[in-house]
Amino acid sequence: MRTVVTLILRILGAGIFIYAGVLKVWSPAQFHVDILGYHMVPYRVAALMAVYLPWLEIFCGLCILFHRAYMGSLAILSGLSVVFIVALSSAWARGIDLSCGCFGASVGPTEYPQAIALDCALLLIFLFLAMQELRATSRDAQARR
Amino acid sequence: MTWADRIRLLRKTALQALVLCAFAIVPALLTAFFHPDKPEWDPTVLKEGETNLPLAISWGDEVLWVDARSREDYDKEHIPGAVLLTEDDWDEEIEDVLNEWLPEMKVVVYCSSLACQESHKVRERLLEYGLTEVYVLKGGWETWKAAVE
Repeated sequence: MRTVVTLILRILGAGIFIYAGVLKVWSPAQFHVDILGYHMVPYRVAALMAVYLPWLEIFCGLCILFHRAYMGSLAILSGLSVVFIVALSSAWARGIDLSCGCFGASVGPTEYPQAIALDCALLLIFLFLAMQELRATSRDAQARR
Repeated sequence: MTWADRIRLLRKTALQALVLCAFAIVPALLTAFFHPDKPEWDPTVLKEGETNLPLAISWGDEVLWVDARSREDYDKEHIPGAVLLTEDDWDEEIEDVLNEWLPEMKVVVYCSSLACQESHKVRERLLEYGLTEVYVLKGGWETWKAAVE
């Protein structure tokens, strides 16, 4: 049962990041505009993020899906989720009316509670998956002794 | 799990993360140079008095948007907070612009598209009024509309 839950969560977490990454890769210029909307990073840094982050999301999502470089991918996507939560919360606190850029092309102003809740849920999924992996590794280590 | 196991796992995780970060650089570079919709890298590559949407957005609240299209277009839809200013009704509408304008603000004028000239004309007239930081939005309303859609 636990294996099935883990598999479903793997597909869900990885799938959301792959989907978001592909949408952003489709239109990096738009993602650039969305990042600038947060007023948190300079123009060129935002441009770098716009071309780099979507690929990182796709690669990590694929690695989680196919269980390759698993813990590294979980660490990166957990980190990204934290960054997104902080960025969204900061923009919300500053009263900025923005399109979060979460899923590529702008779809109008972001509903902050929903966007933050989604990122929190993803973070919890990745932490759960990491815990499961740690337990499995621990069991393997004990079995070898 | 012993401490040695934990440290080994931590190292492995960090190495995997580094490799993944490195892998993502290759397609990112290809995107940066060859993607048809790549970000505008150098915000300064613009004609004199022009700005683009990312740069204007990065100015945040220090921008006064001025809509140089027709009243009909303005009433239908406009950039949030934009003030209407057209050549035809200049004397009436300039009051609204000056009421909204503050000395530290940058003024960004837009018309309907890349090809329209109204924004350039309005910019020229605003400069004659003594406003210094007046820019034309490259691509105009079409650029904005594409960005929000």
